[in-house]
Parts: sequence; C-alpha cells; structure tokens
Amino acid sequence: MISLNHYLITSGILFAIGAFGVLTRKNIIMILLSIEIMLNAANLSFVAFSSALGDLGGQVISLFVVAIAASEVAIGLAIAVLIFRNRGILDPNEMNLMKW
Amino acid sequence: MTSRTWLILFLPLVSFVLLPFVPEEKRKFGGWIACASMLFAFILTLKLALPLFQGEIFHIYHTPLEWISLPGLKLEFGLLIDPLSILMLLVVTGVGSSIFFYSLEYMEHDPGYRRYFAGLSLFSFSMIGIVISSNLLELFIFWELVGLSSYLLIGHWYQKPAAADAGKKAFLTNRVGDFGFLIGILLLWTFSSSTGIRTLNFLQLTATITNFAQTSSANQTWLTVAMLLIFSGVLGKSAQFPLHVWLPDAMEGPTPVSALIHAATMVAAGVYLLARMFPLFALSPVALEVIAYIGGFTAFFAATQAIIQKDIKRILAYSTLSQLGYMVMAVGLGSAGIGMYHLTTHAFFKALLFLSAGSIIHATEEQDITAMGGLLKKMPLTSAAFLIGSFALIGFWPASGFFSKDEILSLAFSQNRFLFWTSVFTVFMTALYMGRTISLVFLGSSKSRKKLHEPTQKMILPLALLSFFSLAAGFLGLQRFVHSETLGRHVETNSFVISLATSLGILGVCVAFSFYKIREKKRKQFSETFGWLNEILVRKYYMDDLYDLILRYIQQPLAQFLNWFEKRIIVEGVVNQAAAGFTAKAGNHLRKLQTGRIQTYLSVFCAGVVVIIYFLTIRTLHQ
Amino acid sequence: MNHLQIPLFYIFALTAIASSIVVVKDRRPTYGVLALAVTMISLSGLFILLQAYFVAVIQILIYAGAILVLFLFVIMLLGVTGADEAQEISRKNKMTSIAKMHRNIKILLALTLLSELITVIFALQDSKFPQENFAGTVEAIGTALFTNYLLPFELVSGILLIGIFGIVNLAHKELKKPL
Repeated sequence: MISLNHYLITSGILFAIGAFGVLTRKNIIMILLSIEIMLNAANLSFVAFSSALGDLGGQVISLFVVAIAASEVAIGLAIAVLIFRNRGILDPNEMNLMKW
Repeated sequence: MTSRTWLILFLPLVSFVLLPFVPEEKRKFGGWIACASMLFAFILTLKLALPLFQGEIFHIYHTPLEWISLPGLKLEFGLLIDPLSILMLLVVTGVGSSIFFYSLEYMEHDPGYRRYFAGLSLFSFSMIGIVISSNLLELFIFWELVGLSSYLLIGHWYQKPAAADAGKKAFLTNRVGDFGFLIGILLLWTFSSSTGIRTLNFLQLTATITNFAQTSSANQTWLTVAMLLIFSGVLGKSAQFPLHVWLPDAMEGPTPVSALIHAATMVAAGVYLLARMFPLFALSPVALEVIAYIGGFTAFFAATQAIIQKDIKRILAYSTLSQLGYMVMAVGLGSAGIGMYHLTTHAFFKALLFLSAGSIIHATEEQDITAMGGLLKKMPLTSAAFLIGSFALIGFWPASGFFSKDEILSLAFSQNRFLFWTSVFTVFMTALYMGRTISLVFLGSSKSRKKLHEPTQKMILPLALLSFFSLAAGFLGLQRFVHSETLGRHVETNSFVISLATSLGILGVCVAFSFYKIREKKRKQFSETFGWLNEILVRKYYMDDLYDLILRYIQQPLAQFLNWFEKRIIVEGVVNQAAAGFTAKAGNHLRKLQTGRIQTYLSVFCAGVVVIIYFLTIRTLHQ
Repeated sequence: MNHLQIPLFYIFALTAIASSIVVVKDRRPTYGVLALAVTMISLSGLFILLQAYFVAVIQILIYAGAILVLFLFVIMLLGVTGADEAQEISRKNKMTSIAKMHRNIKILLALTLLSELITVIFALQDSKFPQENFAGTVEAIGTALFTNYLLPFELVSGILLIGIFGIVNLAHKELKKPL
C-alpha cells in the first residue's frame, strides 16, 4: 500500500538532490535550475499532505508556489543575463565582490 | 541640643571654606573669622558640658545620616557625645581657641597668613570630628583628615626643603600606621557579624565583639590581632615607637602649630582612640600588655634623646613623645581614664611650654638654647610662663601635672614593677632635661645681642590662661569625667610613689643646674668621655638611618619590581598581547569566512539548517 | 485504479529521481532543462495519483511549459554550452583535490539533510489516503481559491506584477537613438 511516507520520502530525496545541485554547480543558470527541483519537491510534499489530510489548502498553496517560482526564475534569469552582459561569465565563484 | 552639637563640628569648617575668599588687604579679618569660629565652638562646648559639671552623666547619640544601608552592610554618619568626648571637646576647643588667638600675633607678618588659618580651621574641624564620631569608620575618615591637616601645616613654609620633607615624613609615617589601623577596622567589622548585624558603631561594638571573643579561643587570638592592628594606628598618630620618627621633624612647622597639633590635640587622638575602644582592648590582656610596654619604652627612649637636644622646640617634641608614652602606658596598664586625665593636663602645660617657646623664638629669633641665656631678667613674663609649664611637666605639686603623673606612677606601681622603675627613671630624666633647658635659656648671662622685649597682649593672654589651667586643672575635678567603669581601673595614690617622684624631680633639676655651673673645661672632659653615648643619642639611635636603609634596599626594589611587573606582564602581556592580540588574530582568521561566494554561504546555511533540524526534532525524538 | 497505484507510483517516483540526478550531474544546460522537464512530468503523474488533477495540469502547463521554456530561451540567448564549465575543471586540475574535498563535504551535507528528513518522516504517524469525497478538481480548487484563499490569490498577482516591473527595469537595453 502506498502511504503518505512514500511520497514524503520521494520529496525528501528530490529536495536533497536539489540542494546538492545548488551547492555544487558552477553555472548560475544551473543553480537556478536546481532551485526549481527543490521547489518541486516542496510542492510534492504539500500535495501529498493535502491528499492525506483531506484539506485542499495544500494544493492551493502549491499553485501559489508555482506562481512565485515563475516570477523568481524570471528575475533570477534577468540578473544572470545582466551579469553575463557585463562580465561575460556565469561562474558563481567569480562573483565575489562581497569578499572580505 | 543636637543641632548645637553639630554646630560645634561645622563652625571651623565654615571658617575653612570662607578663608580663601578673604582678600589680601583684609587678611587680618580672616584671622578673626577663624578665631571667632573656634571661640563660638568653645562656648557651645561649655554649654554642652554644663550638666556634667553639675554631676549628671549623660550621653547623646544622634544619627541623621545613613550613608549606605544594605543587608549586611550598614554605614552611618552620626554623633556620639559622652563624658569622654566632652572632655576632649573642651580640650580641643579651649586650647584651640587660645592658640588661634596667639597666632593672630605670631603669624602677623607671615605671607601665608590666610593659608595658615585655613589649615588650622580644617584641622579643628577634623579633630572635633574624630572626637564626636559615633562609629569607627567615621572616626577613620576624620583621622585621615587630621593627618592631612598636619601635613599641610607642618609644611606651611614649604619653600624650605626641610619643612616640606618633614611634612612628607609625618604623612607617610602616619600612613603606615593607618594601614594597620584600617586592616584592624576591617577585621573588627568581620567579627562584629557574630550577632547578626555588622556594625562599627561604638555603642553596639562592645557587645558584639565580646560575644565574638567568648565563643572560642581562636577567636580570642584573632581579637588580639585586630586590637593590635588598631593600636598600630595609635602608633602612627601618637608617635609611639617605632613610628615616632616624624614628631621631632614636625617642629619645622610654625610654633603655634606645634603647640596645637603636636602637643595638645592631634597626637592625643591616638590616646582618645584607645580610651574610646577601651572595653574592647580590655578583652585582650595580651594586647594591653604590648601597649603598656611600648608606651613605657617610648617614654624612656624619648626622654634619653631629649637630654642632648639643642633646639628648644625639639626638646619639647621629645618631651611630648615621652609624655605620650606615659599616657599609652597607662592605658596598657588597665586605666584609660588615667591616661585621658594625663592627656588633659598635658594639653595645658605642653601648649603653654610651646607658646612660651614661641614667644622666646619670636623675640630672640633664635631656636638654639646654647645661644640663649639670661632671659629670666629680660623677659620675665615669658619666663614665668615657661617655668610654670616646666613645673607642671616635671610633676611638682600643686601643678596639674603632679596629679596626673602620680596617678600613672601609682598605677604602674600596682601593676607592673618593671615598668614602674623605668617610669620613675624617666621622671628623673624629665627633670634633667627641663632643668638643663631652664639653666641654659633663662639663667646665666644673655648671649643675645638683640633688644629683647615681651610679646604683646594677644600672645600674653593665652599664656596667662594656659598657665592658670596648668596650675589649677588638678583642682577642677576633671577626674569625674573620666572615672567611669568603661574606662578602666581606679587607683589610690600611694604616698611612697609621690615622695619618690617628687624627690627625683628635685634631684634631677639640681643635677642639671649644677652641671652647668661647673667650669667649661670639666664639662668638655665629661662630654668627651661620654662622647659615644652622645653620638648615639644625637643620631636618634640611628633610627632614621635604619628607615633609610629599609626604604632604599627593600621598599624601592620592591616598588620597581612591581612597576616592571605591571608594565611588562600585565599591560603588555595580558592586555596587549593576550586580549587584544588574540582578538586581532582571531578576527584575521575569521574574516576569511567571508569568501564572497554564494555557494560558500549556502553551504554554511545548509549546515546550519541541518543542525537546527537536529536540535528541534531528532533530539526530542530520541529522548 | 488501486492495483495500478503501486507500480505507477514507483515508475513516476523513480523517473523523477533519476532525471533530477541528471539535471544535477550533466554539464550541458540544455540537457539539464530537458531532464528537468521529465522530472516535472513525472511529478505531475504523482499528482494525478494523489487526485490533485488541477495542480497536475498546471504543473505541466506552466512549470514545464512556460518556465522551462523561459530557461531554454535564456540559455540559447546567452549561448551557454557548458563547455567552459568542463574546461574549468580540467584547467584547475591542481586544485581538484580541494575541490573534491569540498564536493564531498557537500554530498555529506545533502545526505545528512536527507537522513534527517527521513528520520522525521518515519517518526510521523502514517496516514492513509481518504478516498471519498476528495478530489482536487477544477471546481473544488476554484471554489477554495476564490473564497478561503482570496487574499493570497490577489497578493500573488501583485507579486507577478512587481516581478514584471523588475525584470523590465533590469534587463532592457538602452536605445541608441531616440524613437
């Protein structure tokens, strides 16, 4: 029987993979992509709980998450484009103006 | 009544505050302000003392100000008047007023006139403060103030290096004694907690400390230690051995200062302290014995040095040391009352002696007795005063000194034979050095070429007054003030003692007179044979040299070492390198955490999240 | 439907996990985007299994359809090939040991996170799914959205508007000559 735990564990695995991607990739756009994975994992968790508890709120929130993810990605990509235009580079390690 | 009493304390303070504002042209006015304040204080004291003269015993206790009041710590500022303090007040304000009056003339031409009177007023304020204090801490505060005033007044002519040095010596020696005193106070403070309240109040202290001492024998020893430490304060202030070294040097100050501070009042503060705390001292026979021996020794010791002095003031200074020794010895032998009685009579005749010496110095402009002579004819009034004073000092009837000194000797006779015989020998020496002084100053032919004249009214009046009291004080019934249970035992005067003392006195004077009648050559021979003795005495038993060595080889290196220690190890080491350096290095390393890279920050963030989740959820799960 | 649930779940779940690993591992961005699309579609399948029909469709339409397409546009616009990433790794060969250590730490971190999540999950009470009267249909979601969740709904539209303003302000090029 597929229970809530199955979905939650899947969500957890996806989240961890996304986190690893965020920490590891050397390209800003790929980092943004990894953030998308994490958001999706969260969505899955919300919907799973919504189904398990019989409350539609989880799914509604999931819709909001999608909307916000959309705007966040758009802005993130705009910034990435700007950086690329100014510096010609997309390596986050090079963007260290905040260094001590 | 209490507000009047406070007025006695604050009048001299007002004078002290006002004096700096008196302009140069009106300087005499400043002198009168000071005199007036003391005179009023004296009148108020008389009014206060009236019931006592009529036979009533009373005491006032008034604490208007609670300075600090915490659980376990209670310091107050208040007033305690009982027969003991009234007696001291009478002495301080009475003799003080005379001396202030005398100074109007004596210091007339001194450029530091106003500063002098300000100093005297400050001193009076502090001394009165000591006498009326209700608790040990308040007394200590005034004690220190008195020391300060003494320093300022000794060094009045500060441009003279000897005077400045003397002031320093007085203050520092006093400080050494006060250090012990303070530790003693702290110990008593600790001990007084035995009944639950910690207090330094004189009224309550006796009960709590008695309680403390009786609980165990270890406590008894601690009490002895504490009382001996308090006695060290007396050593400093009342110039007992080994802290006596400042008093002879203090003669660099103006003569009225010597009269007031170093004869009548300040040095008597130590004896007053002993009397005030006598019930506690009585709890420790060991302490009393130490006190008696130190007193007796100082009396003997100082008298030996008085014999060879050439400066008239220094003779009187050593004489004061000797008499103070007597007072302290009396306390040590078990009667603070007798000690206080001698303090009173001594105040009168010693002040008289100093003031007449001042008159002599004023007239002859000379302090060396070998350069004086024949003053009996030239300055009869002054000579009479000085002679009356000497009379009292040696202890001939009917002068006041007779009564007090004989009580002391009788006390010694009944308590401690050894001290009795040393005191008797000291009486002989006292007669010897006073006889010598009289012989050289007043008898014989005049060596001075100046036209000598008697001082004016302002100086004569105090002399007359003090002469009267020196003669009459034995009959005024002042004993009543000091013969109470709390002040120790009472003695019957012993006729053997009286006759012994009087005959020795006469013997001493005769020896002195005849010595100076012998021809010059024989005198020189005598001096040569006893040259070695003379040398020791002149060098003050090498005590000054001893202290110099101690300072140079022990204190200085220690001070330098501590200075080095503080500079190198504490300031540089601990603060600079350890604390500051560590912070700087830590900062240097820590700032490398700011790599500026997002992924670094995110990693740390993620690690933090992991830790938080652990603490929030998994820990509670496993418990 | 029940007897299909178990295999379907596993198919969708494993596909999602596998393709997300591809997203994270592969150097080439375009392949990453495509792998992410696969992940999203699998997730959508999972949503349908959970009876969240509306959300499933929205996931595909908007997430996979719009957002990933945006990603693709930008990647094409910038001409990112992922070649420089590969170059960089080989160039900094001497730093690889430190880089390897860092990467290992990060793997460890992610695994720790995962293990914590799993521990927490297992501590929870297991719930079964209610079958009756529950469905994430359009009507149900619509009703909820316009009654209970009206305020967040309006606020999200506000956020989108602000997002648009922001992007236009950030990314537009200055005109070289006046219109």
